[in-house]
Amino acid sequence: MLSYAIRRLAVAVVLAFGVATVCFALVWFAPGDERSDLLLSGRGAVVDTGPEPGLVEAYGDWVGSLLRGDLGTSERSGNVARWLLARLPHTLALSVSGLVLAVVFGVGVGVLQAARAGTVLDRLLTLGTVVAYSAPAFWVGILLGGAFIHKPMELGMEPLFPLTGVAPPGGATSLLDYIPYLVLPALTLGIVLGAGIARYTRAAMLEALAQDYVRSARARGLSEMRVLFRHGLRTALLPLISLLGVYLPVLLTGAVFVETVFSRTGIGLAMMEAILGQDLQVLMGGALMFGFAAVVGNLIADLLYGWADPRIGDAVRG
Amino acid sequence: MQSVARHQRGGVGLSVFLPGAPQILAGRVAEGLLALMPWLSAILLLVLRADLVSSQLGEGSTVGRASMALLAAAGLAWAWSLRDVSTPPEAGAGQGAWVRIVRDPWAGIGLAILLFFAGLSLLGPPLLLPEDPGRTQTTEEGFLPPSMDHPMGTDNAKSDVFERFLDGARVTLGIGLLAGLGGALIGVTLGAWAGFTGGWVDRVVMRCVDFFIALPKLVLLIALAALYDLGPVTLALFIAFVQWPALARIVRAEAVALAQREFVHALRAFGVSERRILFRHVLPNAQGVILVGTALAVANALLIEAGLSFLGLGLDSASWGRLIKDGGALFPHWWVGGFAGMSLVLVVVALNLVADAVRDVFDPRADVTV
Repeated sequence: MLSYAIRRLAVAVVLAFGVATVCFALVWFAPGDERSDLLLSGRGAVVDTGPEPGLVEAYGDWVGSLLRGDLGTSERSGNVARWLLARLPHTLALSVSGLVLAVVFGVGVGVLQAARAGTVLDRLLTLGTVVAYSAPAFWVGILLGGAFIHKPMELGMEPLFPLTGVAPPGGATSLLDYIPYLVLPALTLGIVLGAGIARYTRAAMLEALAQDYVRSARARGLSEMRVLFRHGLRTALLPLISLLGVYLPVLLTGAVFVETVFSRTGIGLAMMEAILGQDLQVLMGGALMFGFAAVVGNLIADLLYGWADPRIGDAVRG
Repeated sequence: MQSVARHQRGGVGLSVFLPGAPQILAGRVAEGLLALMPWLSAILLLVLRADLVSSQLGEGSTVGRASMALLAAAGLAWAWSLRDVSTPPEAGAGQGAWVRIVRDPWAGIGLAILLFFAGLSLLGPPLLLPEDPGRTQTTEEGFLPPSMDHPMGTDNAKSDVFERFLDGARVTLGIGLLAGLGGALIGVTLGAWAGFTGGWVDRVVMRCVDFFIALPKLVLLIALAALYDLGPVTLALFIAFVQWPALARIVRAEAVALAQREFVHALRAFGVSERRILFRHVLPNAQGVILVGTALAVANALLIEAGLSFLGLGLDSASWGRLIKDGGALFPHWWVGGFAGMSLVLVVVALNLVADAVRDVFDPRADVTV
């Protein structure tokens, strides 16, 4: 287990390095003046005096300042790292609550379908999950916003949830102030991601329930609930952990879209505003943060999986 | 058997007027819809735009060619349906994989949806839009609800949403198809090569796949689209580049399994070249996996293109994503983004339905999930 963890950690470091390199390359080869703006902004007044740094020198500087946690400064937003970190909690709250909702929806629907396999309910839910699985996050968000915010407003009623933003003007004083702003965005992510998890859970449950030990558990007279959850779900859930690692980039990208739809001032929206405001430092800082989050999330999923299923440590390469 | 025979007998008369209807009644939804749709759209065209068609039919113009294509498709559908109902079903027919996919009702609906949107994006602009060459039809008022003049209403900039919808269909579906197929081509080639060859080739390719799968590609794609001026082909290329790793991984697993099968050893013993074994024997045996992966890659590429346009980062020209972005909140002007959003979901659902059916037919373990 330990050697597996160390190897996995090494892979994560290489990946993080790769993300940073890809980001650097994106900027370096971009047309226009952006690159000198970005690459020199961290070093203050050097812009006008010295000659243009070469590829190697600039890359070294970039990696060095990254390692110090320095994402540069921009005219519009000041210290980029601080600017993004201030917005990180809103993105984290969205991602975590979206993920929790997705697992609850997905596993719940999947288990229900497997328990009622072949019935009309199962078919309807299958169709529903295919549709939800196919819908892009931004469209689901617009539909939810339409149903719970804009349709009531059109009818002259109070919207059921606050229109935009992350907190009431003047800031949230308690969690109760904060949650109404979170409901629809988290629900959007939960539906989009949960549909995939439901499809997986249904298939895995049916496979698990077809095993001999389930039949013998039923033969021993165990209750159907106990069979479903102790024998079926436990087997089916294990690979779900690694599936969550796969879903993580989806979750993060989904956050960008959902924040745009609901104007939540998280990192995703910061990136979008940065694009409009030509604020390259914030754009690249956001991309880097999402990239590192994906790497760390993948690492956590792999380690969890290795811990939950000790066979993996030896079986899975890298 | 008797009910089938009755459908067949009564079908001849029905299929003269509604080709495909007897097939739908007999439960063969896909074939029926695929025949019925070109027929109905050809009739609608002749009824609604008779003047346009009659004046342009002989000409070499786009309108003339598009009407010819639609009429030819309707004629083909008519002939096929009539022939199909008047010939008795052969014993033992309908066992092949492709026939089973087409006869799966859900896949049939999926295929019909795909054909509908393919036809709409190819033939719609010349046949359904007014003929003025610039096609910059501005209307007198913005945010008009759908009406006979503007089937999908008008948007804030006073332009016809139906026109933008048809243009967007071409952009979104075209780039999605190009990027999905391109990604599939790269993924299948690399995956099959790695899995079949093994050794260091396999290790290098799979390490690259691992790396690319773990990258948050869409966020990087957003940064890329913001920094660079992308044309349609470059955009499709970069979206394809996001698609290939997933396909490479699936195809590689299949190729590894197939490479150990006895028929491959036998082919080698006969002196068949490695390349021939790979292309003529291994890949055809992986067609189910490849088809499923390609359908999902196209679906994914569509969503990425629409997503980038929704963020304002796609092409400058109209796309469904752009239409959804301009629609903003769904109410009160639901028609601006609504049609594009629903169509996007429909097309992706259709691709998923077809992929599911293909998987069920080719994967023996699929019995568990049905």
